[in-house]
Amino acid sequence: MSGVLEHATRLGPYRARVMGVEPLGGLALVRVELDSRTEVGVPGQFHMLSNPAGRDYLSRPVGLIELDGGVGFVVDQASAAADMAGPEIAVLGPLGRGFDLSETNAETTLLVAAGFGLTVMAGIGRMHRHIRLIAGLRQSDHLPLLECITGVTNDAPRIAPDLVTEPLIEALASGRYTQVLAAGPTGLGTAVARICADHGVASQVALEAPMACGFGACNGCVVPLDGTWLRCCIEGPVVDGARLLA
Amino acid sequence: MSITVGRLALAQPLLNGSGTWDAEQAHRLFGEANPGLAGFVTKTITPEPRVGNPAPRIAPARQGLLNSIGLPGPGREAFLATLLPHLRTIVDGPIICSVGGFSLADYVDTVAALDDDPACAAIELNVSCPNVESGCASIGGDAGETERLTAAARRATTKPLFVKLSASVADIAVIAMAAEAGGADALVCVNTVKATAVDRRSGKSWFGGGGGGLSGASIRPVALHAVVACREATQLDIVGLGGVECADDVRDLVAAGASAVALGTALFRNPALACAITADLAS
Ligand SMILES: Cc1cc2nc3c(=O)[nH]c(=O)nc-3n(C[C@H](O)[C@H](O)[C@H](O)COP(=O)(O)O)c2cc1C
Ligand code: FES
Repeated sequence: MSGVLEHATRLGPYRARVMGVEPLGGLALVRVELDSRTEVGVPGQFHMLSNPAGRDYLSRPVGLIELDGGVGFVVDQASAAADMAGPEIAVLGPLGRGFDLSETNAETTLLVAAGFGLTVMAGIGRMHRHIRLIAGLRQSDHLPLLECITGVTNDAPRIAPDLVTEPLIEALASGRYTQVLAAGPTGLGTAVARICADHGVASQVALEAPMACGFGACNGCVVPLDGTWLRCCIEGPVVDGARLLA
Repeated sequence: MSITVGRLALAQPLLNGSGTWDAEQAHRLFGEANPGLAGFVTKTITPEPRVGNPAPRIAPARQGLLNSIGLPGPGREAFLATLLPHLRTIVDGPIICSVGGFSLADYVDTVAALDDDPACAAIELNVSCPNVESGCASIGGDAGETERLTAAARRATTKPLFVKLSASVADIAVIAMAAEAGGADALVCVNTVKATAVDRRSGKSWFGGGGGGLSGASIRPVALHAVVACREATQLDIVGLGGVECADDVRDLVAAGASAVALGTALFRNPALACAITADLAS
C-alpha cells in the first residue's frame, strides 16, 4: 500500500487502521480508525474497502456503522480473517445516495431491514431513538448483529423462512406510519415497496448489488429501476420504492 | 514525458481503457474527470441507445474480474448532441471515442459523424467486445472483415484511427496486420479475454446476458504477449493494456513495444491510481 495511497481523489482511497475484529455470531465486526479526511456519510451511503495485502482482487462495498467510541463494519467471518484484518485497509467514499431523512421521526417512520441491510439502520437508530425496526435474519447465529444497531426498538426478529413482510403489513394496517425505510436484497426491497404502495405509504429502499467500483465506472451493479437496468451505485443504493415497481 | 501514439499527441503515456472509467461521474464525485490520465477514452458508442445486459453483470475471479456488461449507452445521436460536448468541458486532454456496432455501416456512420466533431481527437474501433450477440468480436476475429472495416473507417475520417484487438483469436498478429493494411494508425491491445462463470446448479452462464470477459492482473501476461506479437507483425504504434496496476507493469508493456499504456480494472480499486503511477514513473 505504501506509495499508492499518497495519491487520492477527494473521496480517497485513504488509509484506515484496523483496531480489532470481534466475532458477531457467524459474522464479524471490524473496528477501524478512519483517516481524518474520510467521512462516514449519510445512512444508506457506502464505502469501497480493500486490502492490498488481502485475498480479494476487488474492493467491497460496505456500510460503515458509528459505534460507541468509533466506527466499524460487518463482514462474514471468513472474509474478515482473509481480507479485512489489517493492519491497514484502503477506504473510498462516502459513495452513492443515502436516505432522505428530512421527514423521518420515531413516531411515524418504520424501519424494515434484513441481513447486512440491518447495518444501514444503525445510523438512523442513533439519530431517532426508539424508532421501530422490523428485522429479518437468514440464520439464528446472526442474531448478535442486532447488538450493533442501538437506539431502535426491535420487534422480535424474523429468522428465515419467516418473512419481515408479515409484521410490516400488520404495522401499516394500524395507520400510524407514513413512511417506511428499508434495506436488504432487491427481493425484499421490491416486496416492501409494493406493500407500502398498496397502503399509500411512502418508501425508500436501500438496495444491494455486486459492485466492482462504486463510482459509476464499471456499469456492473445494475438493478431493475424505472423499468430498465440502472447503476445501483449512482442511482442508489437508496431509491424511492416506487421506482422498483415501474 | 509527452509522447505520440498513432499521430495522437499525449502529455504523458497513461490513458484509461474504454468502459472502465466514467468521466462525468468522476467529475461529479471526485472533482476531476480524469485524474492522472493524459486524456479520456469513452465507453464504446453504439448506433442506437442500449440498456446493456440484465444483472448479474460482474463476478469476481482470482486476480481478476469477469464481466458481461453488454455495451449500455445513450447511442450515437445522444452521444454527439449531449455527452461529447459535456465531456469536452470537463476532460483534461484529448478525448478518444470508442466506436462499436453490429455491421460495417454501423461503424462507418459513427466514424463519419465523429470526423466532423472537433471534440473528438481520435477514434478507436472496438472490434473485440465479447459480450454482445453479433458484430464486434466477430469482426475482430476475422482478418478480412477487420481489414474491410478499418479501410472503410479510414475513408470516413482523417483523425487518428485506433483498432482495439482481442487476444481471444487464433493469431492476433494476423488481425493486427489486417488493421495495418486497412490504414489504422495504432493498435490497442487488449480487450477482455473471453471467459465466463457458471451457475453450479444449472451449468448455464452466471451472467444475465451470457458471455463474459476476463480483465485484471490475470490477463497481464496475455496483454504482454499481444503487444509483442503486434510489434513484430506491424509498424503500428500500440496502446498496451490488460492488468496494469503499477509503474513496473507500465515499464513491462513499454519494453514489449507499447507507446502508451491504459489502466482498466485496477482503477476500480483506486481511482487515483494514474496519479500514483505517474509519480512513480517520474521518480
Ligand atoms: C467492466 C468493463 C467494461 C468494459 N467495457 C469496454 C467497452 O465498452 N469497450 C471496450 O473496448 N473495452 C471495454 N472493456 C475492456 C477494457 O477497456 C480493457 O481492454 C480490459 O479490461 C483489459 O484491461 P484491464 O485488465 O486493465 O481491465 C471493459 C472492461 C471492463 C472490466
Ligand atoms: S459498481 Fe461500478 S458502476 Fe456501480
